[in-house]
Amino acid sequence: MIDNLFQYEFLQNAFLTGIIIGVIAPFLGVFIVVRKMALITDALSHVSLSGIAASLLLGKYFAPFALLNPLYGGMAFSVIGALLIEKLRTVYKHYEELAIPIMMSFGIGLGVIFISLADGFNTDLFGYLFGSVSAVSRADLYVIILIAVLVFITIFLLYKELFLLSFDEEYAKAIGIPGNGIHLLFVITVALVIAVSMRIVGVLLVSSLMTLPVAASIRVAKSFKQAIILSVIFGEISVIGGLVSGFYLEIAPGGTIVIIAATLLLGTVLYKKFRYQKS
Amino acid sequence: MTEAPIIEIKNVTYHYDHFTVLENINLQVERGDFLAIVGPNGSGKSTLLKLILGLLKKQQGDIYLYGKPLESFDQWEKIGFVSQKANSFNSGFPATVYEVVRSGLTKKTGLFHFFPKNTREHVMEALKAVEMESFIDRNIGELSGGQQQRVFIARAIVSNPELLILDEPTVGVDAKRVAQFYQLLQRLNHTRNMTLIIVSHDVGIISDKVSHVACLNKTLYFHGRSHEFAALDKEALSFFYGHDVDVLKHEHI
Repeated sequence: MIDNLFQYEFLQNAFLTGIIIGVIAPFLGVFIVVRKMALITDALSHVSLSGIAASLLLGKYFAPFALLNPLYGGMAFSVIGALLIEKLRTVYKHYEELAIPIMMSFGIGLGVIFISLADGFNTDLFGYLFGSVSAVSRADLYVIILIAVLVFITIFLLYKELFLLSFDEEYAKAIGIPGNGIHLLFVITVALVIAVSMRIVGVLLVSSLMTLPVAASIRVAKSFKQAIILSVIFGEISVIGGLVSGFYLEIAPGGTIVIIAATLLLGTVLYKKFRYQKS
Repeated sequence: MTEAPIIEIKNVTYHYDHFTVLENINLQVERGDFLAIVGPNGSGKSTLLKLILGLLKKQQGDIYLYGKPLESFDQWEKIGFVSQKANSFNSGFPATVYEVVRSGLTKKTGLFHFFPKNTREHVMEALKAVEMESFIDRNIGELSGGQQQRVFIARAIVSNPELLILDEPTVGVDAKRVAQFYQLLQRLNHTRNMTLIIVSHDVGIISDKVSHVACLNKTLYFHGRSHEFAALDKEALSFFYGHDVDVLKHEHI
């Protein structure tokens, strides 16, 4: 494996991408889970897919678009989707959760149309749905690094505000924290991270990387800081373990990543149960 | 020159759709006051609080904080707030008492700034004031309702506010603890000269603990010193509370 890693550029790309999203996806995931927004990740990943499908379709008919990385299309759709969800939440004040299924079905619907119109990228599509060890290009990697740095800086600088908004939104607003603006910025970072994570984990499983490691960590974490650190550790174990096993078993890494994350989750549940019974 | 009142409310009226919740409210709070705003459920107490805190947009009338119109007031770090929701927060939230109290310094620290190095000392001091210092590294969800409530007071006072506003802080706290809780508030009022406003539907318990009482039920029925309030005859009080007196008492059994 190590030899291969030095030998093949595609493996380097996949691993570096994996290591990066293994940090930022669970890091953002902690805020998403404690704010009870976990489902937004599913909706946005489906919207990103339609963005990628739209890019591939455009590329097929208009040559200049073929040069454009489909990742940009995915990111653009994801961010627009996130903004639409926020808008819908204010339209349906008393049914805020409706925004999620609306955007999710809209994303899939649009994706299906684009995919049907350009029925020439089926093998590519498999990678987008379930993740891939070989699909990440050097160009993808650069985009992912750039996004990761931006997201990391944003969340780091807004850490205390995000913590307060997650813990007690009313209080945060009462003491004069610009909650709406920060929330919007946060949702945009989530949309971007989902779009860039998709290459490795795949559309159908990207939400798991933001929720499963967090679900495991909050079982055992005493503090918020601990929850973040543990989530990132669980996320990294899942991604690296999933990529290695996916590579050797020739399985799409999305599947192996999620299974490892789920196993870790089961482990923490059992650990907590065992500890609880002992004391 | 005399100091401007901490809060001045002039002719404030507020409607939800076509329903009037507050009508022509005039109220002043001076430095060092310990004011209880009392009234039955649905009397507009929380609405008034939200207007003062800028959580609701005012419709008619004027509100001044420290002599400045609410719209241009920007010294929110002077005001501490203990919300009603603090009682019903997500108890599975992974956070320590330290992290929760520290979050009270968010506004004071400022956007894009990190908490200063001596933050833990400030948090410790606030926790000492509410006698919770030994819980600093405990998970917030593991504490009892009364202990959590004191942590939320610590969060509100950690930034050394001059004015502390509490919205129904004793809901869900058992009766024995309530007396201790008011002692704590009185101590903050006396030793730190902190101005306190407490909103409660619990008129009986409160009137001998505070310096001023404001009775609210859409309009302001009474506003004055608490001993004047205590001297009011019962008839006036039951008129003000209407049929709600019984209902309210049942809630505490």
